[in-house]
Amino acid sequence: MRHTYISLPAVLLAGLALLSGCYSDDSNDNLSEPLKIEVSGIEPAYTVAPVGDRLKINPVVSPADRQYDCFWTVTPSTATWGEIPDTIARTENLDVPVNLSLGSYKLRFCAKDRQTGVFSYTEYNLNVTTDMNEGWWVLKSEGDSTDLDFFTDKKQKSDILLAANGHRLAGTAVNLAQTDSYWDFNEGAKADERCSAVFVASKNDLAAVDFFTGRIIRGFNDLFMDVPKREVRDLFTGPSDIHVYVDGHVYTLYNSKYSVYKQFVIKVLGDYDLSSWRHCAQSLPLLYNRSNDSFCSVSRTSSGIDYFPNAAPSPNKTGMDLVFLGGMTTSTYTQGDVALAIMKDRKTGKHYLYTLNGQPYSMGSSPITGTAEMPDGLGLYSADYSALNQNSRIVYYTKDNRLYACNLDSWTETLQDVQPAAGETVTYMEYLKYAPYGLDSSWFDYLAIATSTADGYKLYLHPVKAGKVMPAERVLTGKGRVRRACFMSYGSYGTDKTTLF
Amino acid sequence: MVKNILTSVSALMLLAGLSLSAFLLGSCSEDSGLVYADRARVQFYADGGSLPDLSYSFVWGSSTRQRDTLYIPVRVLGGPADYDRLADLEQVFDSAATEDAQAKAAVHYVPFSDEGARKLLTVRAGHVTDSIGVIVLRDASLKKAAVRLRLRIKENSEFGVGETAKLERSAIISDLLEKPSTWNRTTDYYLGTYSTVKHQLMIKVAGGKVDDEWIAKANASTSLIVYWRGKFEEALEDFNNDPANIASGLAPLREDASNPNSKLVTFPTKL
Repeated sequence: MRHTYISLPAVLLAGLALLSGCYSDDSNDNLSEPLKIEVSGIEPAYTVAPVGDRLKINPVVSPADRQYDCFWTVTPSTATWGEIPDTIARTENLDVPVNLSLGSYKLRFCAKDRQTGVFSYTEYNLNVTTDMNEGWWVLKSEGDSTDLDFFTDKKQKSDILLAANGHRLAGTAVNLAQTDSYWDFNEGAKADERCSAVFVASKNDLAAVDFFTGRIIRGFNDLFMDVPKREVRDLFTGPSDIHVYVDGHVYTLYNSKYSVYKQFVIKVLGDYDLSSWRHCAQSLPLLYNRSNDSFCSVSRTSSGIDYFPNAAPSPNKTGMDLVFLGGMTTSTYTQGDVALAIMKDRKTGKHYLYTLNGQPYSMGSSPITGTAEMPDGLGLYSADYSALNQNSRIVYYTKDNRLYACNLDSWTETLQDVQPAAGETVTYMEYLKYAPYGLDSSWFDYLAIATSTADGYKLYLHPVKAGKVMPAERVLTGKGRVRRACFMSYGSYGTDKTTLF
Repeated sequence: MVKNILTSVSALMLLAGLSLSAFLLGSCSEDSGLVYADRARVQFYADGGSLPDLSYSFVWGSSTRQRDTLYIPVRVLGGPADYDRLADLEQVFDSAATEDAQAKAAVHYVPFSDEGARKLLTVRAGHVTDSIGVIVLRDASLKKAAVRLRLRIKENSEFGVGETAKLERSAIISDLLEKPSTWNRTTDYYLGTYSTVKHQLMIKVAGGKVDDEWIAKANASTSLIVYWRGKFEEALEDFNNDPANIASGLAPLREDASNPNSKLVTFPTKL
């Protein structure tokens, strides 16, 4: 009998062949390419200022013949993908004002195809850096409110307070001051940290403003423990202090590098009526109390007004009106070391020129170092605006919108060749000196004169040569009326400024 | 013989090894310090580690108040329980005072044996830090002089005692205006030397208690203490310039009103 051996592998193979033959192919052979969204027209990185700039980006999303839902987000660069970013726009084109703190961020753009749900999510660097490190700060009044304009060589930022805070300060402008030793609470570090601040005073307001962003760190109500009436008369500085004269009293804020002071906690006790003429040159401020016709000062370590000891001539109970006080710089690095005061004897009507120590470090001796009787009839006595040349004994003054120079040695008064333009009225004049230590190439002196025009203001920066006012090297323009101007430059050693006597 | 020697040597070595082991084991005695896992323990507690004297004065409360509760922070070692636990206290001699100045039970405080007083020694369920209370009594003697009550934690069925250095704490009880226990070098620097008259002025200006808590808060903020100093100076100046006070001899304000030669009340101006 023959045995037929059937090969098992062969059987299996056959089975497989049969099975494959029964398989029906339901696949779609008409597969199209998956949608791939491409985004272009966005730079890898952007650099903007924290306030005032606009972020404008018009991306190109392709394929162009489709409809997309888009949105933009911003998140700190240190954030993880799990953290919720801030959505800043839900449009394809981005056009938003920047209002971010200094730092590095991730800018993300999402374009989602409406039909398929396929989306593109791309990321770019966004750096927010200040553009206010160096420039001119112009304190101005706009109607019955106060704001700041800022000018660099290339850029102008108008209405800093309005742009950064949504409002100006109430009342017309009074003064400004700057410190690198203010304190603010850092939410990230959960600690108070020193910061640079500009203090801005207006007739009915006061604010500590961040130097780099213009944002208000603290407003009027938070700058005092017992909030005084909003009647601000003045703002001036001491050696490491800022003083504000409000509601009839001077309050002091200590700008300590080590202790946290955020408020004007020191009140100068007593009854006094301080003249608007004062001289502050990084030392005890030289003030004049009209209540008792006495030169005086204030200090963070004193609870009341401080007076100098009597001498001949006495700085106390002079019986005179102080009609002018200006500062001179006889030594480059002691700006304002000499002060010149014009006094008017109320009884006789005579005027006297007092020379004073412009930087008293103590109240131990009279600041008066010399006196001279002045001739009658000088136009200077009825000046509208006046400014003392810091390098020579010349007072520039305007009267009836005409600019003069009065030589305090020869008493001659000279009409200057440079005059306000027709249709412009002088609203501010100050001699500004900028002489930071070791940066001689950056030094300058200007007689700054601001005028009011139909369109706003013009701030002229006039060099002065041999006592003569020269045509302006630069003119800054803006809206409003200038109260004061100051050039500031922030560096690793602190902020250098034009003199703010 | 060699085998015997070897055997002997081996035995000796074995013996030596056993002896050494026994020695080593024997020198490893169990640490006799606190083993916090054995039972719950309680001790006094204060921020900063040290236990400054507590201060209680009846002057801060109503003139009709005759008793009050002084709460003392404690900490439990060994974790919380899910039920209330009673601590126990006893009075011990306070070496910082004479015998006459020691607080007396039932005169200056309610004894701990009193049921009401015992309840105040409760450490609540779920707590590892809590405050236990001592009822202080307003005896007439407290108007003349303060007394000191030194308390010591006692072991009981609920708690063992905690760290040795944290088992005792003193409380000063009076019906007088006492120098706040938190008046320290910082306070001296900004507010000057303490005096009762100065303290009274400060209370009047602050419009409320100027006690341990108030002083501690002021010490913690340079800005705050300088602000208040300005207020005190203003009040002092007003007082000293008041014609009526000048005429009556009350002004200038002195640290001892009855002694015209005593030091003037002043505040420093330094920062």
